[in-house]
This record gives sequence, structure tokens and C-alpha cells, in this order.
Amino acid sequence: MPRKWLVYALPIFILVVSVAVMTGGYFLKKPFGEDDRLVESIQQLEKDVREKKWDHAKEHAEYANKAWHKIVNRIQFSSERDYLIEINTSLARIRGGVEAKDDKGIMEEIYLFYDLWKYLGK
Amino acid sequence: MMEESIVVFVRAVITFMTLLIYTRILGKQQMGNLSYFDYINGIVIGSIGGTAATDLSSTAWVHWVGLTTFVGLTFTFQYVTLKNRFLSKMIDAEPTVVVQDGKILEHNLSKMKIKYDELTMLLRQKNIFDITQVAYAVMEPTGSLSVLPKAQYQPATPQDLQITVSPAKMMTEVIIDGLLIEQNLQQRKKDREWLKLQLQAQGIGDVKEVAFAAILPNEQLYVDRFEDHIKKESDMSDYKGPF
Repeated sequence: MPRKWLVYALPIFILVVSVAVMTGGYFLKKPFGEDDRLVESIQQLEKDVREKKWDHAKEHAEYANKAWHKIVNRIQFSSERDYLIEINTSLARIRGGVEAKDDKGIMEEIYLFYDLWKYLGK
Repeated sequence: MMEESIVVFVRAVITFMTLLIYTRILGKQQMGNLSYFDYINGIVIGSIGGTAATDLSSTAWVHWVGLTTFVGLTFTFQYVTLKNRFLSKMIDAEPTVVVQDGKILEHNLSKMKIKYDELTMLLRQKNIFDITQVAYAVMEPTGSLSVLPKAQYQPATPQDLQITVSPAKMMTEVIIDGLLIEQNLQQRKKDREWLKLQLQAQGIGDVKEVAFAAILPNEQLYVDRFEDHIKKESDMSDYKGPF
């Protein structure tokens, strides 16, 4: 009896785990701790840039970069490579913009980031 | 950033396991018995599987959905053709007679898109070198030719010659790689004691010395030891190795 049970249960289990790995991106991109609050940090960064608080903006940009690399490890199995590269590029441009204190350029990138983030893992 | 090799590894494992499960669900249709559509369908499923494992420019999920849809449709069509004879005839092709009473039926041959050369080749593969010996040759949907020779060209059977023969039975394996298969021994209504005596008669004291043993249809035990005591093994190779 356990063998017969295994014949059905094992393939179902494998398929369920496979689907979970392939579709888990939407859930896994959400924060799980204190060091992966990416969207929150970008929102903070947006506020800093509007108020021209460049020191704070730099801190948030660095935090966002670290948080992103943490999140990538979780969502890489369920996301498109090009999408991840685009978000990576966007965050790099934001960091560069903060260094150059280019508030217009940063704003463009932030809104691109929001849009990319919205569809990530969907 | 993304660890591409790890992602490909995980996706390959998922695709491999999925294909294994799906092909088991689809059943045991033999490769040689595939119709042209089955063949193309198999290639498409394999191709989607390959892309799902290695194409990182799109998510594995979209390919997995494609794969599952193809397998789902194949399974549905399999079920429908099993249950409904009309749909079965519509979906799978019908067998077609291409030679009758030694005469080629040209219309059916062209309908099946088979050339004369192909027909003679398929006949030769069935050991027919003289088309006049054929009563019927039927082109199967799988692309193979079934041939029924005329009665006078069929091999004589023991029944024709009125010879009494012993009933056909199967060989049953009882020892593989030094391990006794108790279940098979019981199937042939034998016990360990019988096996032990048979092995002793051949000078074998332990089951572990035996690579392969089977009960033959005539109730004799065939034994092959790990030690074959063949002085010089026949060599089929025509090129100096080592391989």
C-alpha cells in the first residue's frame, strides 16, 4: 500500500514543488527581513531626492543595491534574465545619479524601477 | 546578479522530472510505432522542454505551461481515440491495402505518398523479393508495411505437418547478479531446496557464484556463472582498440 501511495504522491509532490519554484517570484520579491526592503528604500530615496537630501539619498541607494542582490537570489528561478538585468541597470543609474546629484535623471529611473518592479515575477 | 548556471541546473531538473512524469502518463507507445503526427508532436514537446531548461530570456513557467498544454492535448486525443471509433479513424490514419493478390494498388499508394522504390524496399525488409507472392500488403499508419504472403508461400507450421509439440512457455529468471528472485521461483512452483540441488548438480555451492540463472520452458535450470571459463572470447571488433 505505501508503494502504491508513493507512485501517485511522489509525482504530484514533484510537480507541485516545480510549479512553486517557477511561480514563486511574486511572493518571494516581498521583504522577509530588515535588509531586503527594496521598494521602501526606493520610495525613501525618491523623497530624499525631492528634498535634495543627497547624503540620505546615497545611504538609501546603497541599501537598495544590497537589498536587490539579496532578493535576486530568491527570485532568479522564476524571473526573466532580461528583467533582472534591467532592474540592475536601473539601480546602478540611480546610484550614479545620486553621485552626480542629477535629480531629473534619478526620477526617470525611479519611475522606470517602479514599473519594472510591478511586473517582476508576474 | 543571477547565477545563470545554478538557474539552468534547477530549470533542467524541473524539466527532466516533468518530462519523466508526463511521458509515464502518456503510456508506453513504442518509438517504432509512432504515427507521423506522434513523431512531430514528440519533437515539439522535446523542443519546448529544451527551451524551458536553458532559455533564460523567458520564465520557465511559460514554457512549462506550453509543455503541459501539449501533453494535455495529446492525452485528451489519446483518450478520445480510445473511446470513439469514428474520431479515432479521423485523427489517426487508417491502414491501407497497397498490394492485393500480387498487384500494386496505385491509387492507394499515391494516397499514402509512397514511391514504388519505397514499396519494394519495405517488401524486401519483410523478406519478399517477388511481389507475386503477396496476397495482401497493408501500409500501417505508423509507416510500416504488414505483409501476408499467399498461402503457398507461407512457411509450414507444426500444425500443417501434424507434428505434436510441447506447449510454448516462457523462461523465468531466478538469479540475477548473485541475488535470488524468490517471487519468480514461486511462480514456477519451485522452492529453494530444488534450486540448491540443481546448482549442486552443476558444482555450485553458493547463489553468489551465479551471474544469471533461469528456469527454461522444459523445467531445466540454465546457469551462467561469473566465472565463464572461456579461454579466448570472440572479438567482434574490426579495429584495434583500446576502447
